[in-house]
Amino acid sequence: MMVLIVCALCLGTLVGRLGWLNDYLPLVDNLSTGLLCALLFVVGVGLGNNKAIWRKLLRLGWRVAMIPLAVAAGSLLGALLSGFFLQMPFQDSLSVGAGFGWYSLSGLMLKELGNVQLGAIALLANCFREIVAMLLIPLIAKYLGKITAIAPGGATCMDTTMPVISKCCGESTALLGFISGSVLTALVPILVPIMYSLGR
Amino acid sequence: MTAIIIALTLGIVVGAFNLLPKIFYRVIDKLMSVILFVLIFVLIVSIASNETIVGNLAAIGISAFVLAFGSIIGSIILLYLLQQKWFKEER
Repeated sequence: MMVLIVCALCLGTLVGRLGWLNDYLPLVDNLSTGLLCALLFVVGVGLGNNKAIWRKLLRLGWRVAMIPLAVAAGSLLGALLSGFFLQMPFQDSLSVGAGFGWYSLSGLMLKELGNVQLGAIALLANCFREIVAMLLIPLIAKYLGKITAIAPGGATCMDTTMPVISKCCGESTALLGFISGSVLTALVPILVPIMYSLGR
Repeated sequence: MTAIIIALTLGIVVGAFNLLPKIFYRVIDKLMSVILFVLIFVLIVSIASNETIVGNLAAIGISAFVLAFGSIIGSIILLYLLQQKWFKEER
């Protein structure tokens, strides 16, 4: 799985940089949405077909809600510490961390809030987060545990990294990831402006 | 976003009522690997051809990477602790 992801990353970077598909970029974007829907449909079929997963979800109950909270708190704390290291204002590092991997929205929001430079940092940082998550999920699933593999993806666990989680940790973890990703996705547009305006 | 939720819900309904032939469940694993490969490929192509992203790499790439690294490590540590405490059977 890891080899497959690394190959796709390298090949994609190469083709993107060489501009071989530049004439077809709108098509490429539509294709990725289509493929994502196809994958989520397939994951959904597996979920619908496996009644045990839903019983497990009921048994886990309120503990499920703790997953996105832990991911959110960890992301913000980690970004805050990195920000001290980079000597950034704490509002800036926190608002980048509050993107939770949703790079298009967090980048855009910070730009709209009037900080173009920070918007670019948020765009890049959250983009890195998505890419690094795809590489880390197989490793974390193997060495730290399936639930922990939900952490790096953040908000992207409800879309782009969900199929990776499903492949490496199984459908039931993918469902927990989807729930966590949905909560984090809903938090991004709320937390980014709050963090940015803290004490300002 | 809406498309994603519709696709997943549709999949769950189709799976719950067993609307697909048996062969689908046998090839599902291979099928997913192939689609996933193509998906990651096209995602990265669109990121790598995004001039806003690539153009900013030299100037702010390091700061962005450090922030991404911090968020990832922070979330892994907290979720790992949570997993060890409340999700023991899920490991």
